[in-house]
Amino acid sequence: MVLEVKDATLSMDGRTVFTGLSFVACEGQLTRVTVGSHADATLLARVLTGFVALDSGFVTIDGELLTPYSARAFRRLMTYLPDENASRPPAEDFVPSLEGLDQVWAISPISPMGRMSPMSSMSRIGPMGRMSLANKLVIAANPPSERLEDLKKLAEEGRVVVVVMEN
Amino acid sequence: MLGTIEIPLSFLRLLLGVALLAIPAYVYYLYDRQSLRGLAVSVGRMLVQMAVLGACLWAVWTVDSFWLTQLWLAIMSLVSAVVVCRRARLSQRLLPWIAIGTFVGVLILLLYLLWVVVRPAEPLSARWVVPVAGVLIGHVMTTNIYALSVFYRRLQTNRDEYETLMGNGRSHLRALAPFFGCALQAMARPAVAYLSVTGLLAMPLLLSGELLAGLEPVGAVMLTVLLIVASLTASVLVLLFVLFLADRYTFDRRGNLLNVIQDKENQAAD
Repeated sequence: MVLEVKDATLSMDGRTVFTGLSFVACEGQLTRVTVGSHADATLLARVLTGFVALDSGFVTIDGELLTPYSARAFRRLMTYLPDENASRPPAEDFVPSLEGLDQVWAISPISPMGRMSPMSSMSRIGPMGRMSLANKLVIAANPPSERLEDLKKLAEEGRVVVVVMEN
Repeated sequence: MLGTIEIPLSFLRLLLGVALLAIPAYVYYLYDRQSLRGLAVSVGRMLVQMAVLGACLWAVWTVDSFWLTQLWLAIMSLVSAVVVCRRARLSQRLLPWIAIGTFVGVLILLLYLLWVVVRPAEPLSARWVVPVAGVLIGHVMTTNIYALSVFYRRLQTNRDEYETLMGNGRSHLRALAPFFGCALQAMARPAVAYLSVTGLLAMPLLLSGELLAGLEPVGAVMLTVLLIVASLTASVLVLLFVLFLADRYTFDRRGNLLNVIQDKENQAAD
């Protein structure tokens, strides 16, 4: 899997967030992208997850353009680690978090109410095991520096890891 | 079947009854003159509203046409949607979808209740449809104010939560599930509080109305139970319909929440 950002420009509320941003993130590598501020980093992560449209330029995953429609399919292949300060869903809704790398909360069949339940011990593959099978692309917004090692390990396991941080 | 009783009430005697207001008015005059004006305006407004409502009901009752009754139902749904939008401070953009959701949800429950369960001689006559729909819409309106307000406000303040779930591959529907759960919770609280005292500490207004209308007590209790159950069902059904119908106008095609809250800050931003 390859994630490519080419000539990306984004303005928000009359302010240029970034301009001419290009990078390629490949499997087995941790790609660290730095932008002006904490909020800009979150914004770039939202671009990479398909929530925010670029003013110009494009994002592709394996050569496929990230559009509002393709984003839904790509998100199924993604693990999105939001900003540490972001409000998070309850634990049973399964959100991978850097603090929780040791705990195995993985995608299990959804109950009729749409709640996610933790994997049973029978289906545990190991820390982040299920993620290694399902999610090849990890996007982390503003992770704490002490967690970068964990993310490097994820990259070494063959994932595409993109870390977006402020300068 | 509902029995009816004639109330031989002339306008003069109605005025005698309304004259009872002199007692609270005098007490307010003595101790809280500030509230007196507000009270007088409210009573005046109530009298005008009741006069208009009475005239409309008289027309619907007299004509007793299926389509006129449906029009009445549509108008009640629209009015309830206006109240929901105003009280929950939601964007007017959602108004048509709240009205349609209320209309459809209530109509389904109404048909089931009158055609399948109660089965009076003329299930679609105005004398059955109008009061039953009134009860259902009244309840749905109150619960929708709580539920929609909590749903959209929580979604707005916890946008990260929604995006995190979406960003990790949840479908739009599944990412909304926790917010829907909160809306249901907000809706359940007043219902639980009401049901826990019904019959023991308080006689439902509905039951009193049925007894006044001439229904014998057992029949009145059975009808009240049915209407309470139907109201609870209608509130959930209508909430589902409204959220489904309004979804396209609540999120953009990327899944971002649009501005549907009419708070002062948002109005200033607009």
